[in-house]
Amino acid sequence: MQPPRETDILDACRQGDRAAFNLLVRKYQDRVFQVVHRMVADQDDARDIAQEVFIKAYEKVAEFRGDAQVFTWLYRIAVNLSLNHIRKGRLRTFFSMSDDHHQIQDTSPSPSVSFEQEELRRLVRDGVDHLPEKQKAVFILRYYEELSYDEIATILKTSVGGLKANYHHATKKIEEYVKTRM
Amino acid sequence: MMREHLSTSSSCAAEERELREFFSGILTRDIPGEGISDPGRFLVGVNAGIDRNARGYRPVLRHIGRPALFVPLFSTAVLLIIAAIVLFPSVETLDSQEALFSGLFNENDLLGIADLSPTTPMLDDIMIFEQSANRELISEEASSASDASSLNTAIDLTLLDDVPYSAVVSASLNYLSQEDVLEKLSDAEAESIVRELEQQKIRIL
Repeated sequence: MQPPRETDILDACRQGDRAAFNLLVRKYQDRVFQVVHRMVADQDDARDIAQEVFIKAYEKVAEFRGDAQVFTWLYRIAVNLSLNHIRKGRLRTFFSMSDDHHQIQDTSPSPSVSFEQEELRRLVRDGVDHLPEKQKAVFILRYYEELSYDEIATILKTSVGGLKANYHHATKKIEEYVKTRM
Repeated sequence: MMREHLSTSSSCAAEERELREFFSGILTRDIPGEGISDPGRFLVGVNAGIDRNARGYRPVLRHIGRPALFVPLFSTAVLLIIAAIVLFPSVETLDSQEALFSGLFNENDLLGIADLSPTTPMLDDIMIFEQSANRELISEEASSASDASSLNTAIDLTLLDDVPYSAVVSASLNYLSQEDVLEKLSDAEAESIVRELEQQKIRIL
């Protein structure tokens, strides 16, 4: 038996079919979680935001006309929610109420990876985290998610030319960030 | 288009090559890389959230859409920003605090503050900042007002006419939970505040 087509799943979702929507969740939950995790760093926050992405998607599925791919639509929601989370985190930090939200999560070093490499990764991750919002989103979608500029333009609702400039600036800033700390 | 440009610009091509070399050795795309650790629980959480929203329960956002609360909340947020600038002198700004103050704070903001929470003890402390003449006025109004809410509003407006902005800010801050206010900010409000801070050249992480 062939798996249901995505358009059929979406139609069912529009009718309020929760089981059909759960298929979408299962299919995209890891990708959505990963892109959110790269945006917000904290794993628990990322899981909460990823859940919120799907909750919002379910509520807005009737408005999704299908002119973009499903993952593009989900990524757009994910990026927007992540940016909102980051903004509130920045305000929270600004008011000195909590400085835990943007701590870089250290990944446990693998025995096969040298300390220097791990430190370098941490620096890069830190550099990505310090990018301005837009550049951060572009960099993550382009480099980590390996999306095309056209796809990113759809997600962020911006021009391809602007995206390329943003990506270029982002890479330069990360490079400078790392080099000044090495 | 980019390739064409790189083929004609040696400096850009060199820069592009340098960046590629830099990142190729460092960025492994498996960071953080892992997926949802407990997909079943994740799915349950999503469905619970959908049900919760379907019942109209939105713990943070449910009041935001009401215009009556929107203005006071936003005013409070603006107050917090101003207070932070006043209280944390290390914050970098190219403009003077006064300029930021007058730029952000207008009469409507103050009216919003007056509506914010007329029964909170905040009013008592605002009175501390007030001068004796106003105390008499407040006392007179208190004796004639039958409704506590209208009395408080009258007190607020009276005080706000004369008390310096900075005094209102100082008094308010003692009784406002910053965390609560931030949680109640809508996404659009948070975005506009961040943008405002950045426009004022205030360093924000």
